[in-house]
Amino acid sequence: MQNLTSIIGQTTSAVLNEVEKGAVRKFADAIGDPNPIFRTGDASGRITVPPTFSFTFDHGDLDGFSLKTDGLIHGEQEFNLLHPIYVGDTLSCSMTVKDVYERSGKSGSMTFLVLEQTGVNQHGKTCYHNVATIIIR
Amino acid sequence: MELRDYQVGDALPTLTKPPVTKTQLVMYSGASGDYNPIHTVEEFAHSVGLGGVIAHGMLTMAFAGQMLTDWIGSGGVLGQYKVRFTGMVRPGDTVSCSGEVLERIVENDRTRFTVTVRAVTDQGIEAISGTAIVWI
Repeated sequence: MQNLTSIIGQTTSAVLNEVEKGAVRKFADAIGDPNPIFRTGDASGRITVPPTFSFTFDHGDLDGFSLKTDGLIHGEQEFNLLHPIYVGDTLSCSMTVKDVYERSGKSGSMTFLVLEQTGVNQHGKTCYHNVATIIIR
Repeated sequence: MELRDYQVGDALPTLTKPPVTKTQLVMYSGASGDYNPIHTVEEFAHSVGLGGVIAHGMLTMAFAGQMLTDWIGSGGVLGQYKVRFTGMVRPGDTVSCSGEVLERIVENDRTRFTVTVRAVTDQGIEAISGTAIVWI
C-alpha cells in the first residue's frame, strides 16, 4: 500500500449507466421497500430511485487499483443528492481519488481511501456527489 | 404530523425491518453488483475471521434511507445523507432505524432540517450512525 498516495487525484473515464426500471424495482425488492415511487412512479408517472441507489452505478476503474480487493472495509458513505434521478435517465458516472492517508490503530496501520463519485444526467445536470471512505487493513 | 411541523428534538417515525435473511443478502448482492463473498459465502466469511456472513453496510444504509423517504413523503427533498458504519449486521438480526430533528432552519421560502440517523440491531449493536439534510 506504500505507493497508493500516487493515485490521489486520479479520475476514472466516465461510464454511461442507464437507469433501468427493472434494476430499480429489484433494488427496492432487495431492501424490502414497498414504496410505489420506485415501481409505478409519482403522480406524473416518473419513477425515481432510492436514496442510496447511485452507489450501484459503474463509476469506472482506477489504474493499478481494484476496489474488489479483499480486506476492504466500508468506513463511511456520504450522498449529496443534487438533482432527482429517474428511470430512463442515462448517467455519465466517474470517480476521483480525493485522498489517501494512513492511520495507526489497535490492529496496526490502516490505509484510508476517500473516493468521490459523480453522476451527470443526459441533460448535463449533476445528480450526485457521493463520497466513500474505504479502509484497507 | 406534517413534515413542516417537526421541531428540534422531535423523533422521526421509526422503521423496524423484518429480520435480515441470507436470501436477502443474495438479492442485495445481485441488485447492487456487490459480490464480495463475505456477504454470501459462509465458508469464505469464516475463512477471513468474520464468523459467518455479514450484511452489506449499504443494505443497512438503504434501510435507514427508507425511513427517511417514508418520513419525507412527497412534501420534501432529501439533500444529503451520510453515515459511518459502526457495527455489523448478521442474518437473523432485526434492524431498527430511528432519527431525531437536530436543527430546523428557515431560509427565505425554504425550511432545512438536519436530522440524526441511526440503525441498531436487536442484539444491541449500532450498525450505522449519521445525519441527513432534508429541504421543504
